[in-house]
Parts: sequence; structure tokens; C-alpha cells
Amino acid sequence: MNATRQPILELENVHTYYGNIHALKGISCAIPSGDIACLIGANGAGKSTTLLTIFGVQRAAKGEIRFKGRPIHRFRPEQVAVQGISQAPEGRQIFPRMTTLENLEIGAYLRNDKAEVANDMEWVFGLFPVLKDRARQLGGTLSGGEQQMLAIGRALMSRPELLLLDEPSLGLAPKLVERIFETILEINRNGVTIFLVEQNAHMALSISNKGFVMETGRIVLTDKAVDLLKNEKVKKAYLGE
Amino acid sequence: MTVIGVRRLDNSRIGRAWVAIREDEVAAELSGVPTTWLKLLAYAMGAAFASVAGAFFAAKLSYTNPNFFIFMESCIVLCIVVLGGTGSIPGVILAGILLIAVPEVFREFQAYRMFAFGLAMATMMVLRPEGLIPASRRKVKPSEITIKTAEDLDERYQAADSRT
Repeated sequence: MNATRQPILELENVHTYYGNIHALKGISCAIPSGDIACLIGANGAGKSTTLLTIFGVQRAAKGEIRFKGRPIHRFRPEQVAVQGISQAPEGRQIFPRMTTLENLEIGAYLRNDKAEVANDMEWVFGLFPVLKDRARQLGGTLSGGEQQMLAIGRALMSRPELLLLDEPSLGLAPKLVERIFETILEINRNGVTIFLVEQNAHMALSISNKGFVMETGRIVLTDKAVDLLKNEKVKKAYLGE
Repeated sequence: MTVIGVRRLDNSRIGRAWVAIREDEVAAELSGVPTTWLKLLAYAMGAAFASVAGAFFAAKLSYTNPNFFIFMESCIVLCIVVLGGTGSIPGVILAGILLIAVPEVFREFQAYRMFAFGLAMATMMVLRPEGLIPASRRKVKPSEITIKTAEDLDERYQAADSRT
């Protein structure tokens, strides 16, 4: 780990509201390029909101978000996507009445280079071979694990530099969770920076370089993931030890 | 001409994006689909098709006035779409013929027309909520769905692993 490396994504004092509810109360964090970073915390701490705010789906009321040094907090979601950020939403929000193939094509919506897209689709099928078998099947008929893979695959189709993953382990059998996390490592080895939001703190921290702990709209702890795993407070609150 | 146009649109990038927005707007946004722009476009395209039809209509009758387009007409158009099946081109054509021709045939019973429409709509909701001819995108035979559980998937994975 190189401390001087340029962060790919920086959040500075970001505030987000849902109507009157102050969901993010000044989030600041930096994600080093090439790393896997994770954001852990309990239900309702604002983890998903953080990701949606980065993407511009929820507007940041205050603060700054920078991607590769460039401010993006005023961008609309599609403008954020063009920068090279991609997100697999929580709860496997795929398009249920579109086929696997069509789902992946939507992921490549912003790209025009057909040959390259086809290449990347092969790459996604390589990561998740089961999706190839399901290529012509409707998304809604896939199993939970397959849908999660499809959501990640769809996010990869835009060839992102930064991949935001919202609860990839949600509702999956432990064995499958392991599969998904192995694949996340594999994606990272291909040069994609990953920002992971998870309730499964142990799993998330064990594959991450850097970790953030979130509580009711604030980041309360920032450290190397290995150190967070040893941290007494984290152990007690999130690792169930 | 409209049919060819619409069919091509359905399979185009924009058509795909529209379906994606209908399915799950947030997920579409996260995939980089410009939802606001596309929704506006859908609205404009709908208006464009309607105005082409309107131009033919007015030219043919060589007279037109707002009273031709009362609330009842809007209802019928909506009924046509529901009856035919949302997103299904042949369904909408069939329903269009039915809903325009049948009331003509039963002109004597005009007083009962609304009643008949209501009945037809209610029956449709119960019997065929997807429309007379459902959009092909939605057709999926349950027999094609084999894998349901994580365990099945895992077995599949192991099979795939052993192959490589």
C-alpha cells in the first residue's frame, strides 16, 4: 500500500437529506486508486445513501465529491456514469422482464464500440459462467445469486474504473457469498477500484485494504481493514465477537 | 409504417432503455441511462405519432373540431392499450379494430356502450391481465426455469469448475 497514491474518489463533508431527514451528516472519505475499500455499518446508518449520493441519484445538499480530482457532485447520474463510475444497486435491482443479455446491454448503454462491448461481455461471462447459460432467460426468473451476479456484471459492462457495490451478499447463502467475494477480488485484480458497502462486516473487511465504519449518518472510524478487524469496538459491534 | 417504425424502436437502444426505465428506474439510472431525457423523448414521440394520425384524420374528413376528442375517446384509447396488452403491437392493433368496429355494429344499443366497456375491462383484468396478445418479452415458460436455490447454483458452479 502506497500512502502517496492519488485517491480515485474523495468525499468531503457531504450532507444529504431525504426531505427533512438528515441522512448523511458530513461524510468525508478518500478511496485510493486500485484498492478495495469498504463501508460497514448497521441498517439505516446511511451506507446506501452514500453510494446513491456519489452517483447523483440523491443530490448532496452540501460538500464536495471528487472523482480523479474532478468535482462530480453536481452531475446527473448518467454524467457520473460517463466519468467511469458504475454501481450495482442493493437488493439485486436487475430488469426482471428483460433477458440476461438485454440486462448486460443496458449496462453498456453509454458505449458505442460494439466489438469492445462484445469483448467485455465475454469477460463478464468468464467471471460468471452461469450467466452465459442464462443469457436468453428473463432476469426475474434467475435465482438470487444469479441476479446478484447479473447486477455486478451489468455494472461492469460500462468498463468502469470505480465499481460501487451495494450489499452484494444480501440474502445469499454463505457459500455463494464466498463466490461473489472471490469474484470481487478477481475484478479488482483487473484494475477496477472497488468501493463496497456491506453489513457482512467480517467478509467485507477481509477482502478490503481500507475500511470505514458508519453510524447514523457519520463515519466514525477510518482505518486499514486489517486493523479494523482487530479493533475491539468493531469486533464487539459488527463482528459479533 | 407506424408498425415498422415502432417495432424497430422497440428493439433499438432507446427502446431497450425505455423498457429498462419501466422496469426499474433507479437501476436504469445507475446503468448510465439518461432517464429524464428519455422520458421526455417518449412523451414527444407519442405526441409525434398522434399528430401524424391527426393530420391524416383531418385531411380525410376535411373538417375537425375539438368536440371530436372528448373524454370518451381518451377512455377508448386507454382501453385499446389495456385490452391489447401493454407493449404488444399486434395486440393493440387487434384491440383497436375490436373497440372501434364492435360499437359500430351494435349502434342501436348505444345506451349500453359504457356498460359493455366496463364489463369487458373487468373481464380482461380477471382473465387476461397481460392483454389479448401479451408482449413477447414477457412470455416465459415456467419449464425453462430449472435453477431456484443457491445449492443448485453451487452444484452448477462445481460442475463448471471441474470442466475447466
